[in-house]
Amino acid sequence: MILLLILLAFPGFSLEIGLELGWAGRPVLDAVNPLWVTLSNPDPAVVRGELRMMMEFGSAWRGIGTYTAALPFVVGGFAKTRLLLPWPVRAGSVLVRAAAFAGKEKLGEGELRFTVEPGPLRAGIGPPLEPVDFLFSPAELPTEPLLLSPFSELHVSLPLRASEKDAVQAWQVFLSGEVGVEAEVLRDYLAGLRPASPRWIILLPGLFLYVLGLTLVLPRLAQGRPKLPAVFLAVFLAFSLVYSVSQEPASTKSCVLIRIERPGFTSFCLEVLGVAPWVSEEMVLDGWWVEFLPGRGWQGRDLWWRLVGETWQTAVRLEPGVPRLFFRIAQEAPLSGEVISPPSWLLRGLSLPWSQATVMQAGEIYVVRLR
Amino acid sequence: MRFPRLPENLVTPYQGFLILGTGGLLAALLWPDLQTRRTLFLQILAVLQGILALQVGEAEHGYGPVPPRLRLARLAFFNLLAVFLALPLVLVYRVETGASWSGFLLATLFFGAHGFVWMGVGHGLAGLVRSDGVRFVLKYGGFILALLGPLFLAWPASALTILPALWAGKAEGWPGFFGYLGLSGVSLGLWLRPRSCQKG
Repeated sequence: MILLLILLAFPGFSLEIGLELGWAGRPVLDAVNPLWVTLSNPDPAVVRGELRMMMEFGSAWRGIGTYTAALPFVVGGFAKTRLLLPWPVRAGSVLVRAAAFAGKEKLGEGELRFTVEPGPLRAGIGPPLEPVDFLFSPAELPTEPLLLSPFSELHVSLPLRASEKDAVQAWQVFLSGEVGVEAEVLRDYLAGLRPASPRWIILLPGLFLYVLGLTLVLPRLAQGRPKLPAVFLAVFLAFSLVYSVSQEPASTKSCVLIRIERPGFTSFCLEVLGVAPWVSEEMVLDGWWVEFLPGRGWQGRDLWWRLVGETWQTAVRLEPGVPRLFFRIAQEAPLSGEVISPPSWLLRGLSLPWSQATVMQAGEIYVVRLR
Repeated sequence: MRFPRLPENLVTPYQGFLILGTGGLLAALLWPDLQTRRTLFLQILAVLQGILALQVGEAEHGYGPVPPRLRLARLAFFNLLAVFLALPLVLVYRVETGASWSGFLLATLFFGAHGFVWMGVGHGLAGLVRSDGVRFVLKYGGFILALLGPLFLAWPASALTILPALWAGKAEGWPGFFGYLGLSGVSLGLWLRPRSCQKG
């Protein structure tokens, strides 16, 4: 009986989970770091289920948010599987947790406590010519440029394959400082967007008549003649009800997508997505998006990444009046639109060599093409 | 059906409530910040309704001896009148702030309870405190304290925070909502007591 209680108190998991965050185990603050998850199956049977990673960030002063990722996995008998995720590290992040589930049954769990590097690292690819913090072998070089964001310098002393060169050049354009995103400026612009503006042409005369009419007929209530005030009130109630139903906004949010690309140099582009939500709702974005966080107010700025089929999705809980700004580096088909002169908010919101840029607009999509 | 007659001295407060409420709606809809825009009108309306309810409660105390049930019917009518006067404005605000119908319904219910509570306070103070000056300070001071005190103490008990939470469908609004519903029940119970028909 005692043995049974002990066994129940300390359940043995069928899966071991190992975590490693950051290049050389040195996660960099406010950068997207590599998170390696190693699943080891000590049993002969194949294990499949869902892996969930979770990290809290922020503080009582800034507000606390949560990043969560979920993906299905399969690990063969006596085998290991290693997964790599782009993981943003924020102020206040100290712990990443992972757990594997098959339905409701927990198969294993792991956690990693870490301290962050306050500044970016320097890296070299090939034999180092200068002192660096991390040395890549060409095989280790990620093809996802976002994973290179912890570095401020990348010294390449080896010939690279086309895909590796593409990723390094994307880092050079979008992440090493050549293109800068002024998040506050863009957030201010988003905060000023109006998903639906009131129908003043109906509203103003209606309100004027309402106030005037009721103010004039209200004294009748004191004279014991309530019919006219009641009729007035009923008529305006009916009108306002019709207005309230008919003006229901078709769109619940305003979105602006800015795509910055440099064709011929890199096939990747930097996409910045701004959302000004009007109602509380969940939004699902295709791809792995990361948020530009403001100085504070991080409460509720949670992101859920989940692998659906072969593609990642980012789910976000939108709150009305809280503009959100996301970015990702992706390979997308080229877009074209009407060539425009860049609006002032875009000029202020992006720091880049504007003399070498062409701006095109297609609806709410702005394409900034660098030469 | 016979509507109770509105006392002459309450016509102006109701007109003021209507005019200022409409002004509050316009101010909220024109407010540049989206978050303030979503809450400002509700907060203005809560303040206006509280003041009106205090005045109605106090005036009703001086109305004279009436049976408790009639007193209750009169106060219910005056409270509903304020809610109904605000209702067209709240309906417009609902769609302009993208609020849900459930949020609208809860906010309207809250206004009803809020009105009853402050009418009860106005009515009770008129019977308890003879001095006009002291009564004025207690009446409006207490109201301001009930609005602002919970904000400083981070209690979810101020109409200024309950209404926006109910409007946005957030659970933070529930304790205050039920609190006011309970207090309005207490207020109703006090009116139904026989001594409330004695002239104060």
